[in-house]
Amino acid sequence: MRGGCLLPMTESTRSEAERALNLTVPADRLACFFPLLQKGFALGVLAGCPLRAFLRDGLGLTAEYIEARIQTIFLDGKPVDDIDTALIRDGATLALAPAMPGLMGAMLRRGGYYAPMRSGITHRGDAAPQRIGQGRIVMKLFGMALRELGPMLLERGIGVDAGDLVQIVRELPGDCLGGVVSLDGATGRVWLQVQVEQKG
Amino acid sequence: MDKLLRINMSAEGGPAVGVTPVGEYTGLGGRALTSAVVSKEVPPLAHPLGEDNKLVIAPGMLSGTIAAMSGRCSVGGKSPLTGGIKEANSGGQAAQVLARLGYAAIILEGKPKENDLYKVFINKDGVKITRDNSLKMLGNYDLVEKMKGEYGEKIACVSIGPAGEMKMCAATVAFTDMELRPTRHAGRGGLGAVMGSKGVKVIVLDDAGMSARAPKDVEKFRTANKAFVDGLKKHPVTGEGLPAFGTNILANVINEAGAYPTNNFLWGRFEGTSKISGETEAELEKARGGNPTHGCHRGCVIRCSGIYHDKDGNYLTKQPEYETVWAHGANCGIDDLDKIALMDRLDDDFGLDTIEMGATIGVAMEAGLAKFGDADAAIQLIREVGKGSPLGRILGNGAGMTGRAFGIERVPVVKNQALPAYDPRAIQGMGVTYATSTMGGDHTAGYAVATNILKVGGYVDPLKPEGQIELSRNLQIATAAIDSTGMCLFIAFAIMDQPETFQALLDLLSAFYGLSMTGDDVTALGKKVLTWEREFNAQAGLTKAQDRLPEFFRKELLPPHNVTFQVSDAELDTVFDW
Repeated sequence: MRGGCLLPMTESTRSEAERALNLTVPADRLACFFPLLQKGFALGVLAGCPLRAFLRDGLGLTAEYIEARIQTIFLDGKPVDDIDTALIRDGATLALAPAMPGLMGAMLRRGGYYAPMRSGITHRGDAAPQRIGQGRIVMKLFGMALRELGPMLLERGIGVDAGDLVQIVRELPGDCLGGVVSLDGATGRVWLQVQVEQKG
Repeated sequence: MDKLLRINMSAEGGPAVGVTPVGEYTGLGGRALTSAVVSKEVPPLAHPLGEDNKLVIAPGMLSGTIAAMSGRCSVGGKSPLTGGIKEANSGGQAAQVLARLGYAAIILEGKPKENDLYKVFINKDGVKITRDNSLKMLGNYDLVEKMKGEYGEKIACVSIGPAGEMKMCAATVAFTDMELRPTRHAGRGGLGAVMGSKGVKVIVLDDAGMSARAPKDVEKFRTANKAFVDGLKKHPVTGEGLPAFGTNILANVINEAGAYPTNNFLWGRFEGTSKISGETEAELEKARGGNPTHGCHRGCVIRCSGIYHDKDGNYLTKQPEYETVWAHGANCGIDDLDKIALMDRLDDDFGLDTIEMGATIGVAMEAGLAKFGDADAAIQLIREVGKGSPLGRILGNGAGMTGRAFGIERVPVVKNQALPAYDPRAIQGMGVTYATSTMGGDHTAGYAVATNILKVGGYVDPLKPEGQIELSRNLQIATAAIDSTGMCLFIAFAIMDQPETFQALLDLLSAFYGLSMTGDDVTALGKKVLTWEREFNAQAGLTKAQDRLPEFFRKELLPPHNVTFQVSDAELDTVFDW
């Protein structure tokens, strides 16, 4: 069930002051948006949701994918080992990545053999269940997670800093903006949806 | 690979060549061989730039074979930077070529009486040494072009740039890659200065007429190699992440962990990381006609190297590595990939260690020589080093020297060698390795993340406070062993996760040498190497008192986690209790 812990981009997610922008871009330009996904983007979520449920029900990832492909997770900058005890809080920052190389990659890996070597910053889990309610998080995608999950999230809609978006949109072909008004001078957050142009 | 090539640069009448059997060093390769020679033949109190020091260049145990990933070449000697024993290794073509020529090692000895510069040419017919002062102060790129003109394009070069000639402590030994560019470096510890002190500018290797080294059991070797390659290709790190994004794929995650040293180790996070990450770097390279997926030597199947083009689509440098991008980027507050790539090119050309130089510029920025974030000023500081100006001479001798010259307290060095791109306050276990490594501040000293499968040290209880000490000890043992095989350390992830890939590595070694090798043998080799190195260092004056991190790591809180280094001195002193 997709969407169980992830709120759709609706007026209730987006405040009145925030703008919405829909773009259609050629497939080979989708990577232009990847810096936004690395830097961090806003998502509307059901706060209080366990991390595993968010990945499975919110992002629609299979159990196999989560086990095999999401090997490195940070919640508020702390490496997560147990995705059942970590909760998605309103205002949290969540970063997802695959297994990473080197000793540091091995240390940061969730539940890894070398996890004790970074015990000083490990996420310890959330003791008490939190109230379930509407909230927002900042999400980041790294490595192959960027390529594998990025297009789906761009299609569903993400909140990004207007200034960062302006720089990227400037590099896109003019017709990608369609009938949308210019972003020049825009500030604050923009809710962005990006579709890939269908050929033929 | 059954002979040693000794070149005595002190000999009457000019350099003298001696070829001897491997003898007591039989069966050793890579770091095991360099550390064995240095510990047995170099007086520990010898001046690193004096005639009693030796520079040892040794391919690994499997170099020159068809085994994948076997192209690392070790360089060893007494370090002018740390004052202790040093092994630095590099990719590139030289290990394979040198091994096919039959040499287990080249050992440069003595010191020329005059201020002359020599080139050494080695092929199947022998060794020719020529005085050539026209090479003086050539950058590595021009030098290699000149060698191509003289010896053709089917060569491999081992060389020094101006920094090595000026005997700077940040000087590297450069190795050419598959495209015959001097992009791979035995970077750490100033071994380029040792080569410079021997008066050797370049060693040109030509293996025409030689074939790959033959294993004792050809069929078993071939089968093991296939299994080894299959294991590397199917693993998500060695088969996907590294080929797609290179080593700089680490930037985002280390930054997220709050362990990405920024502005000379002041903070653990850098605002501009997404602009200089491996993901961004790879997309930029593809857009400009470069290539993020490229091997640094023939036989590499991981291909984490790459080609970086400038804005006009012309070759600028190889894909700057994670450590380089951090050192010249976040550590100096710089988020411009093109400027970082230019610094990488300058470092390669002058023959400078990118980690040492980035850390040095960070200290220089703290001293007010430039502002954090000022990329053009950083580039100018590197040019000063290349010119050998008085300021450049200070900077080219590393972060420790620069800190002393300008009265800076926050100088991130251990045993006078700059720390790499992981803050030990956030990652305490890394701090244990930094502090206690025989090599000085060095992340690769404990990099072989395969101790569990090697069963080095047995099971470690992560809940015990001494767990980090044990893990660091076991990692350093495993790394010393893998450094001796000539295998790239990045194989460790696949052999950690996939027992069949580890078995394939053991089978490769066993089939080649006609042995029956086990994980215990690998562990024993690692311990032996570390013991030689520790004994040399102790006699050179490096004791437990030097197995420490700089004081600021215990006193200054590192944002965002606001942590200090907590492992006690008493615990650090137990790392090598085995």
